[in-house]
Amino acid sequence: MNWFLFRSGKPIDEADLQAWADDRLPSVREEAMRTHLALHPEDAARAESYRRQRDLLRALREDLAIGKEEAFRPELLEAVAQRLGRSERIRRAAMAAAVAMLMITGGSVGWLYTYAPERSLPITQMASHDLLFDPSSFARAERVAAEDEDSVGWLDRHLTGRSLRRPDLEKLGLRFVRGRVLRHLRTPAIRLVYEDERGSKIFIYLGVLKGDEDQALGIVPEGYVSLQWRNGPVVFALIGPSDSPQLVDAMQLISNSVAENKPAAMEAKAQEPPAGAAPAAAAGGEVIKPPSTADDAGTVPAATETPSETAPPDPASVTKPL
Amino acid sequence: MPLSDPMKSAASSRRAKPEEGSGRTAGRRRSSGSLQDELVVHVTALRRYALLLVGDPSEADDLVQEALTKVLVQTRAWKPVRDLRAYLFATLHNVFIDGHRRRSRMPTDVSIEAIVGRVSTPASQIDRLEVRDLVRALGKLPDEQREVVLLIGFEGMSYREAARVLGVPIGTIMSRLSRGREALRHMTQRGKSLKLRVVK
Repeated sequence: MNWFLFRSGKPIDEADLQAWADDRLPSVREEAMRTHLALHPEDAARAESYRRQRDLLRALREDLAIGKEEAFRPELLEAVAQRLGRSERIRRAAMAAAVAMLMITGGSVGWLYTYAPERSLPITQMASHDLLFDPSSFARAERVAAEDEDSVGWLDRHLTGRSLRRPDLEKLGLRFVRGRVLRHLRTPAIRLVYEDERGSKIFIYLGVLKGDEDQALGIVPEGYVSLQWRNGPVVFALIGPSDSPQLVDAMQLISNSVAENKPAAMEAKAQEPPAGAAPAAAAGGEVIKPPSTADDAGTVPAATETPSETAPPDPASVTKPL
Repeated sequence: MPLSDPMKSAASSRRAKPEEGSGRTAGRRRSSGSLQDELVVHVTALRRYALLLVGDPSEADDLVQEALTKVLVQTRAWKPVRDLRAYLFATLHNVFIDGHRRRSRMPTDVSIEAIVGRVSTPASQIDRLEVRDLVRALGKLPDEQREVVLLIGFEGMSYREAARVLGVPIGTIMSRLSRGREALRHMTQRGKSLKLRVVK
């Protein structure tokens, strides 16, 4: 803050006169200064003298032939430059280290909060949480996961007495985009993404309950609805734009994806895999990826995407009705 | 006209804290080469300032060299320089009040000639006699006032920058500036009056 602003409203004094001579007086004080100088010609003469001193000194500075001759102590200057540069590099490295430490700490806290086994979320909470992730990761997730269709087969292996196939929503104009296994949920669950020809997406969450698990209601972003229902051990959550006319029809088609009486051959294969087991080759010939990291083992199914690649809906597309 | 100087006595011998900067260069990524170029510019300014401060070219360069050596020694990796110009000038100020101030009084005609003789501008563009009178008067100012007059009038620093370099409050800067300029005015006016009388 300009020191002279504190002085606004006060009578013109010596500091103002010096600032006037240096052309540093704030404009709000200039009128008062002109009035003062008009009334006090001796101060006007002083101010003029000070300006002349300043002008002479600046002219002298510009014209002193220093530095235009030989270099001054080049070795010393080089050493000082190196020292200052090293200091700056260390400062930058220290800042980078501090930022990295913060990120690691923050990431650890975030991981503990979001993915730690004891904090694993019910499916619908995961669904809403998923949607609230930073949309900037969406495009990246889209690239890496477009070919992943093994998630349905992986979930199917958790079903006993039933079979699961990927919901066919083509008749609703919804094209399957990708599926992914959700990590660190209490229940084996997957997420399927469909989109219409305009790119508007709906998100379908399917999970297999192993007991009387309480599925808490998730909160979805404004403009969305979350439809949740259960068909035997399979729980569903459908999240899409609230004004989408296909949601109810989609519900029916999604429910139809679960069939009773799994064939015996598949039944034998459908023994409960360990919670941390990787998706395995499903009946449809899908390739199941192995667990990606050691910390998955024993707690959660392997993911087809890393947590950081979680794909929330694209805001540009989901705002449009399906 | 009132002149307030609340910190006059307390701040008269205060040393500056060279580490404190305004952020002029904060965040600016500088390569070693550009840093050296920047340093050369500042050191040239330091030499000009030191010459006006002590009045003798070789002593001025010694002062600058000592200041640079101190920068080399005292610059700590974990306490980076934010404002290189203020840092260098503050270091020079500290070196000056530590040693050179005791043994340097500049008002000798030889020193004035050494300064004015370095002016490269033709006489038509700058009144050498007027400059000579001003430089001579500068040499008679107390060090504290000369420093302030030079930092602001010669180097073009803001009052805040000068306060940071000298490690004193802005009020002290204004007080010293006012007294220094008024003293210069009296000395140079008296010189003119004397000349006028001689002509008559």
